[in-house]
Amino acid sequence: MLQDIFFQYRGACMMLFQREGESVSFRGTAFLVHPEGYFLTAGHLITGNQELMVVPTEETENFPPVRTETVAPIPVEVRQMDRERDLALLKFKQKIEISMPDHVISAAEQIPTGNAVACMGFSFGYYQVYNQLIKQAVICSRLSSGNGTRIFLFDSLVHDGNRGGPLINLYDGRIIGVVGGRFELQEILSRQLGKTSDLPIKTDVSYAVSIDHAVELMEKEGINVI
Amino acid sequence: MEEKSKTQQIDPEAQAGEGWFHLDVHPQVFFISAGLILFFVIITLVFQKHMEVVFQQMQSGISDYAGWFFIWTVNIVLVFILSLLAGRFGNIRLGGPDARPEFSTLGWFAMLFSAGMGIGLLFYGVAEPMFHYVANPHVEAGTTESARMAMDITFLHWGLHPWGVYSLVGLSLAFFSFNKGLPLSIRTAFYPLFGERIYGWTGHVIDILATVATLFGVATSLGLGVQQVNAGLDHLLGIGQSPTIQVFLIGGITMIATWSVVKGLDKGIRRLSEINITMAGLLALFVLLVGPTLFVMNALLENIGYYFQYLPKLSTWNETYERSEWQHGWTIFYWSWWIAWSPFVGMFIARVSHGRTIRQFILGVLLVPTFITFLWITIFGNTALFIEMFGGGGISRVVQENIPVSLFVLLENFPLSAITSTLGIIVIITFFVTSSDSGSMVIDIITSGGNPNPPVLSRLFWAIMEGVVAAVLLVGGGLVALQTATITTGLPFAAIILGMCVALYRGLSEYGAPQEFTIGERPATEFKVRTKPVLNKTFGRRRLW
Repeated sequence: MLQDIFFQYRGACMMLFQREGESVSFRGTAFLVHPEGYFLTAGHLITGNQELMVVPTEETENFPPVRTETVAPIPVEVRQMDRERDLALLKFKQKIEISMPDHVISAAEQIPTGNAVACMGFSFGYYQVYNQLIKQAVICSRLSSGNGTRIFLFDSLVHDGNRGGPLINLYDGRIIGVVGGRFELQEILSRQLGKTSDLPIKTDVSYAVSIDHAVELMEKEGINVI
Repeated sequence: MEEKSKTQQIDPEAQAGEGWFHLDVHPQVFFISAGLILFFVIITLVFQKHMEVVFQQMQSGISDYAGWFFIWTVNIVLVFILSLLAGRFGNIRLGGPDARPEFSTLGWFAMLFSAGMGIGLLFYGVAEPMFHYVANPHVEAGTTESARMAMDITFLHWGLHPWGVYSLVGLSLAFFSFNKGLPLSIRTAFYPLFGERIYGWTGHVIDILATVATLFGVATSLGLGVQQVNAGLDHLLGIGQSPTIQVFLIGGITMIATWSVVKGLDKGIRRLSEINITMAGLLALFVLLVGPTLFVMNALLENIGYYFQYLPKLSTWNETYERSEWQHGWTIFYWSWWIAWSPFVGMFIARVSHGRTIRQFILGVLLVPTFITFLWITIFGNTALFIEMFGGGGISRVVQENIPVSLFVLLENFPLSAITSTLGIIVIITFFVTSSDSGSMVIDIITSGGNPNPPVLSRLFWAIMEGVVAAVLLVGGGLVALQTATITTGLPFAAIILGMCVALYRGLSEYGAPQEFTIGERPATEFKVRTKPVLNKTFGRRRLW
C-alpha cells in the first residue's frame, strides 16, 4: 500500500525554494493538485516577496546521492493565500504539460480518527538532503483550531522539510490534508505561557490542515476540483 | 480553456439559481444548428417528394448491404456491456468516488424508461406480436409455435440489444464527462479518437450533427405520433382526422414539454416521468387483472425462458440461406433506429446517472428496463394473442390496417373501456411529452457547450423549436422523409459505437490502473543552493492556532 502511494505521489511532491539573488534556499514541500499546474503548500512557508520555485524529483538512480549542491527549479507564483488557514495555492509560471491521477482530493470530513495515513515530503531539505520520505501514521485526533480551522493530528513526528506536503489516506490513496508541522503546545499556549515558551512540553504528534479548506481556496481561484 | 477543466460537478441547486435571461450558448453549435434546421425544413418543404425517395433508397440500400454489420454491432455491444457488468470496473463510480446519485432509484428508472422507449411500446406492445403471429419467417403462421416465436422476436427487438446500445453510449458519455472532466456532449465520445481536436471544429461539427439529428428525430416522431394519437382519438370519439387537430395536439404536447423542461430535470422531467410510469403501470395492471391473468403470468416466465434459450440463434440470424427481405423491415430497421437514437437517449441517460457505479448503471439501464419491457409486452402482447387464439379474435386484422388503434381495440375487449381508453390516450400523450422534454434537454446541454444545467432561455427555445418543426412538417409534408434521413444516421453511428467500446475499455483500464503524476518538458536553469540555518520552531507565525 505504501509502495503504491509513494509511486503515485513521488512526482506530485516537489521541493519549494525561494530565490535569494543568484542562489536559492529551501523552504519546504509543495504538491501538485491540478493538471493546469496548481500546487498546494503551507502558507507560512512563504514570507516576503521573493521569487518562488519548485524542484521536481527525478530519481534516476535507485540510491540517489545524499547531498546536492545545485538544483534546476521551475518558477511558480502565489495565486491564493489564506494566512488564517495557513494554506497557499501556487501555480507554474510557464505552461507545462502535466498528467495526474483522477480524484486525488478526498472528502476529509469522512476520515475517521484511527484512519491510517501517510505523509510525504523532503524532510531534510534544509540540510541539502533532497530525498523524499514517506512516513506512516494514524489520525490520532481531529480538532478545530483557535480560529476554526479543521485539523488532523497524526502520530508521526514530521521534520521541518515536510511542511507543506500532503497527508494521504492509506485506504484510497487520496489527499486529506496539508501538513503544517509538529503539534507544539508552546505555540498554541504561547499567549498564556508568555515568555516561558521553552517549557518542555514535547509531543510526537504532527498536524495537517484539512484539505476542505484547500478546496475552498481552489474554488476561489476558479478551478474545479476532482 | 474552461471546457477542459478537470471535472464536471453537477449541482442540483444550480438549476434554481439561474436567471431567466441568462443565455449560456456555445455560439458555433447553437447558431449553426438552428440555421441548419431551418435550412433542412425549407429544403424538405420544397423538395419533399424527391427527398422522400432519396432517403428511402438510402435506407433500403443500407439494409441490403449493411444489415450484417448492424447485427454484428449490436451483439458485440451487448457482450461488451455484459462483460463490464461482471468485470473489474463495476465499482467505478460515475462522477468520482465521492459522487452520490442525484435522483432516487425509482425516479431514475422512470426517466430512463420514458426517454428510452416509452411511446413505441404503447403502439407496438400489442401490434408487433400480432404481426409476427400472422407472418414470420421462422415457423408456420397462426400456430402455437408462431405465437411463441412472435413473442420471442418482439423481445429480441425491444430487449437486451437496444438497452445494451443505450447503456454503452450513456456509459461512455457519463464516464468521460463526469470522471475525466470532458464536456457533457456528444463530441466527448470522440475524445479517444480525435484527442484535443474535439474542442475545435471537429467537435463542433459532431455536436451540430447530433443536435440536428436529435431535433429532427424528436420532431418527426412528434409529428408522426400525433397522427397516430389523432387516429386513436378518432376511433374513440369520432372527431375525425385533420391537420388542424394534429397541430393543436402538437401545440398542447409542446406546451407541457416546454413547461417540464423549463422546470428542470428534477421538478419537471423526473416528476412527469414518474406520473407517466405510474399511469402506464395502472393501465398494465388493469389489463393484467381483468384480462387472461393466468395465461399472461404463465407466458411471462415462458417468454423469458424462450428468449434466453434462443437468444444466440435469433440474434445472429442473418437471413443468409432464406435470401428473403423480412429482416430489413424488422430487425435491421430496429437496430438502425435504436442506434440512430442512441446519442440522444445515451446522453440523457448519462445526464441522469451521475453518482451511480458502473455496476448499478448497467443493472439499471440494461437489465431493469429490459425486464419492464418484457413485462409490458407480455401483458399487452399475450393478452392480444389470447384474444386472437382463444377469444373473439379480430385484433390481427385491425393491426394490419391501423397500428395506432390496436391498443384501443384490445381495451374494448374488457369492461370500463371508455375509462381505460382515456387513460391510454393520456399515457400516450405523456409519453410524447417525456420524449420531447428529454430531447430538448439533450439539445440544450449540447448547444450550451456541455453545461449539465443549461439556461432556461435556451430550454425554452429548443422545446418550442421542436413543436414548430413538427407542426410545419406536418402541414407542409416531409415528416417521413426527414425521419428516414434520421434513421440513416444509424449506419455511421454503428461504426462509431464499435469504436466507443474500444475507447471506453481503454479509458476504464487507465482509470482503474495505478496512475502517477508526471510533468512534461520544461526549460530549467541551474541554481546553487544556499544552506540556511535550521529553523528553530517556525517562521512566520501560524495564525491558525
